[in-house]
Amino acid sequence: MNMPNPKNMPKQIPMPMYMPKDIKLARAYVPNQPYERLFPLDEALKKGTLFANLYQPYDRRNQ
Amino acid sequence: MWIYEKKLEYPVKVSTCNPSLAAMIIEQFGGADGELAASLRYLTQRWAMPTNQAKAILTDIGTEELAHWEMIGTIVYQLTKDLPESKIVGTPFEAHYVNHGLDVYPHNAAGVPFTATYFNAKGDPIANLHENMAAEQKARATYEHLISISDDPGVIDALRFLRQREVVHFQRFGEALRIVQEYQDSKKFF
Ligand SMILES: [Fe+2]
Repeated sequence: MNMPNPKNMPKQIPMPMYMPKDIKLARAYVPNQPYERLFPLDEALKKGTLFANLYQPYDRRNQ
Repeated sequence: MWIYEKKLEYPVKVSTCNPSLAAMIIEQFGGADGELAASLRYLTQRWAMPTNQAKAILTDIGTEELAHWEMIGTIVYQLTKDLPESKIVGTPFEAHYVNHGLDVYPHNAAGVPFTATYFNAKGDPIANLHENMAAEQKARATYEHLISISDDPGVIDALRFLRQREVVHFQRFGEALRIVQEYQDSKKFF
């Protein structure tokens, strides 16, 4: 799984748990979102998110 | 309680008249995976969410979906508002026009009117949150289909924004699911 690199985290924020320690079967999990890499506000509005790590644009050519 | 702001969440700049495209985009106004269904689904489910954080996520996203519904209605209206009847005849928008004129009405692209049967409130927060995560994926897929058939740059720009919001909402419902799972797990030890 492609986990966020803890080296990119600001030093004052403790390393968060992206996934629970005990993962159970027959359950769905979405990793917690690390709070990092914010877009400038005008760019965030254009892109539809403040968070670079949630920005997943649609490539029309991939149809 | 809600506070209304007299502006759109994201500006909609439609540069063409295109009744056929309007008739397709109305899918997100009154269709099963559209913005109205999303809003009512989350705003209906929020009372019985077991934690305040989960309630707040449903309130926030349900409110934002209403703002998206407003954007979709604006796109549909702008694509049709200046049309003479002669430009509507023979397009897929004609069936809408004979019943609703240039009003925007919640039905899907095939003309089926909106119904609450498009969503559920199951009396079970885990089941509800899974429905919501699926709803966000289905809305994202619909936006990709709509982007693929659109040629108006202003319409495509607004649809891209709305599609990205579905990606963000999926993440937020995933976080709400974690919160509720952990809450329910912690209750078992008391
Ligand atoms: Fe959404």
